Amino acid sequence: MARSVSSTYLAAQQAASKTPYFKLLFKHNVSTVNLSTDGTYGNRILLIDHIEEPYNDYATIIFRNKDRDIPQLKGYWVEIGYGYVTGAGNEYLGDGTNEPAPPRLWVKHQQTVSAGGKLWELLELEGMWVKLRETLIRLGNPPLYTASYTTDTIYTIIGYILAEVDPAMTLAALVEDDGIIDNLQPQFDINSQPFEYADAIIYRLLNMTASYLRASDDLGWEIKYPQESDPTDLTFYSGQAPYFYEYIERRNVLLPNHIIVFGNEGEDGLWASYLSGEARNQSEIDGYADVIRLVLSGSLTQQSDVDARAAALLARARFEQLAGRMVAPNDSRLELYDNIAIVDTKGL
Amino acid sequence: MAYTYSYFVKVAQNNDGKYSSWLILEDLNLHLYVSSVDGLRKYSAYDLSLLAEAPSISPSYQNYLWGDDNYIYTVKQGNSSGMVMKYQKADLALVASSSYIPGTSAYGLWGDDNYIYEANVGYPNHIFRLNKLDLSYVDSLNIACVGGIWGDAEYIYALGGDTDSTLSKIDKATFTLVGSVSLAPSGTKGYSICGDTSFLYVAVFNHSTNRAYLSKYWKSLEYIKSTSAYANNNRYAMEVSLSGADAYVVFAEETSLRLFTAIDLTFVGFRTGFGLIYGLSSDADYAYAGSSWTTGIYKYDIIQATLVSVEYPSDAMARVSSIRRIFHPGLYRMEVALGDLGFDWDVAEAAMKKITGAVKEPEVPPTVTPTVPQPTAVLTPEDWTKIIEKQKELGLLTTPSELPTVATKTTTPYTIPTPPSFEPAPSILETIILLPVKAVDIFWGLIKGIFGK
Repeated sequence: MARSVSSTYLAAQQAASKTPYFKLLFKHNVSTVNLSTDGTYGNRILLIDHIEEPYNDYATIIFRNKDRDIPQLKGYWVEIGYGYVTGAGNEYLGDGTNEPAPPRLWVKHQQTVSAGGKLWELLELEGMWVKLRETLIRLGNPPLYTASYTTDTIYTIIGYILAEVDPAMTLAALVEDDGIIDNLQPQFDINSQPFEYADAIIYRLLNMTASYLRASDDLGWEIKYPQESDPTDLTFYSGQAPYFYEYIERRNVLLPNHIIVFGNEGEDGLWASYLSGEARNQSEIDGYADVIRLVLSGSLTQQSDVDARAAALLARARFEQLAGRMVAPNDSRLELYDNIAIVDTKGL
Repeated sequence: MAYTYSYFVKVAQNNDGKYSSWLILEDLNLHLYVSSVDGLRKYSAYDLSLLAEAPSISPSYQNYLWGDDNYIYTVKQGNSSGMVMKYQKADLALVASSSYIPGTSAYGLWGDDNYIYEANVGYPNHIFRLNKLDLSYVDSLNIACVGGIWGDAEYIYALGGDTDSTLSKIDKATFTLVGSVSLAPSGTKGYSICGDTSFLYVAVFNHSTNRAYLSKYWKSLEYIKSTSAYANNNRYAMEVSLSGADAYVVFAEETSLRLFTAIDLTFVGFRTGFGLIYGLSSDADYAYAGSSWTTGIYKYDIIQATLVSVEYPSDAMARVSSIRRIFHPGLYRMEVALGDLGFDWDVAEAAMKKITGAVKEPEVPPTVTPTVPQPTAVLTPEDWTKIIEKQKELGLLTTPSELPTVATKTTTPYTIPTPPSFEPAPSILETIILLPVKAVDIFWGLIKGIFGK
């Protein structure tokens, strides 16, 4: 579901002429540096380029720094408060009314650029997924730190992993349940081979489900489960606000369109009593060819789990194809995994 | 642009509980006058708000309407007699009324600069002609007319009815019948008539088959064609009106409004499901009709065009998978990817954008090696002129054929310069002693002279 913003925020965002506002509070322990549009140093913002992806998030922020007074920000974090000067004042994401703020970003590199008679301060920021990528999970005992789970659900294990990050992250209560993530109790080992990082472990876990993980503000995460029946969160139009500038529709042949999962390899690993589950998209098969992916999930011992795994993998294959691209005026309501509609009234 | 079309889309209504039997638009289509058992009423054609009202005169009801610049005329009828009444348009104040006209029922009303014509059936079957000023009786023409009358500057066109299935033409100057034809299709009777500069449009009904038609005639009464037959239970609500600057004919029958092109009665569109339609009038864009259904009047957009919308994405599972928010002064926008796991530009997409020139801000700096501007090394005629001038200064002028070919590195396609044409050496040169020099010395001397060391 898209972010909730006030009517004044929305009116400013959709106005033909708008004045952007950004709340940029860089924090570290008790220290805060205010580089907001109306911050301590005045409006220094030259560029914000912020990208959120399913398994990555990062940003580049450039400030004017003619006075060489922007302090050291290395290691500070910020949740970019996208906003506008509205009829109710300066409103931004994370101000208590317009929530939530975007996920947290940490300053990993700070460049001081002197060129062409100008002085700039360029910040390279990385987000929650990168934080996971840096975190080795040490849930077991040293020196190998191996851990093994058999009676915990995927959702629970993800919660364990997130709590290991410094600072500890939290997983929101499950709302969008795909029927797997909080039911399946996989045979799941950590650090059985080289030491594993949090992102890789979570990626392994998510691939057992039809769900995704979305970063939120305040070090939070939530489970997202896209379904065909999801209501539309936001609609963009060619002829009315909220507008889109460009939209490219991309129709894909679904590859693979037929998933076969084998489970129950047995204690001896000889697959003597294996189970198989299938999921197929028949219309895609009819439209192109039967393209099969074979998956060995030997630890699954229930037919229902094998079937569910096949269905989940087929859903992921469908979800993870580029289906469209849109360029639009900034709409702060939009979040990852939102279900949007693009209504185009152009054409001959 | 691509459009979809809807017909007779309701845009305003006034369910004031009043019945209607006849509607006309007047006053440059600004006002709608309605007659019925509930009296005479005046509405705004814009929103159908009630502007004025004249109560019915019991025990009769009012039917048919015709208007001129200042007055509206209607027929009060009942008790085997009728009476034409004249009202002020502004406030619907009664101005004059005629004597009682004997007959069963009035079936039409029309007027011109001098007279009001009232068609009456019963005894006698006459069209009465009244003085427009005071509605006094002038004379009458003995024809049965039960379907309505309509006129132009020269003629009155009258429809026969149950006992006379004809279309008649009456010369207004002589007030005599000048022609009549049987209505077509065969066996039909007329119920409503209107016309334009050349044609008449008649709503007809076949009582044997219970079918309604719209027929078109030349004003000479020559039949042209009819529409398809429409099932109608009992000649209900037969009305016809021109619209769209006379490009279309609106045909109301029973509970349907149908639209035809005026030129050849081609069916355009329709909407059904109204109550029985009593009273119809239309302008270029809207049709106005009364209904027995909710006893109100309605305004319909005759043709409503809607831009065709296409909704994306076509894959119901496509979700926002990547968001890139970009701000720098003057730009605050976002790029959104649906599906996929990141912002990897598709090759075909990039190629398309290159073709359309839609690329506004490349995501990365161009990877091609930029072309660095290089100083031009080809000597131009201007250069040659300088050389010659310098040569003169140095006293090194020789014949043009001895000028060296400048061998320099060229970074652009080399174009052989056109050697300048030389005039004979000026007289001053005749006094200069030419030193014996080598060609290469001449060249370097030139270069040093022009470009310095």
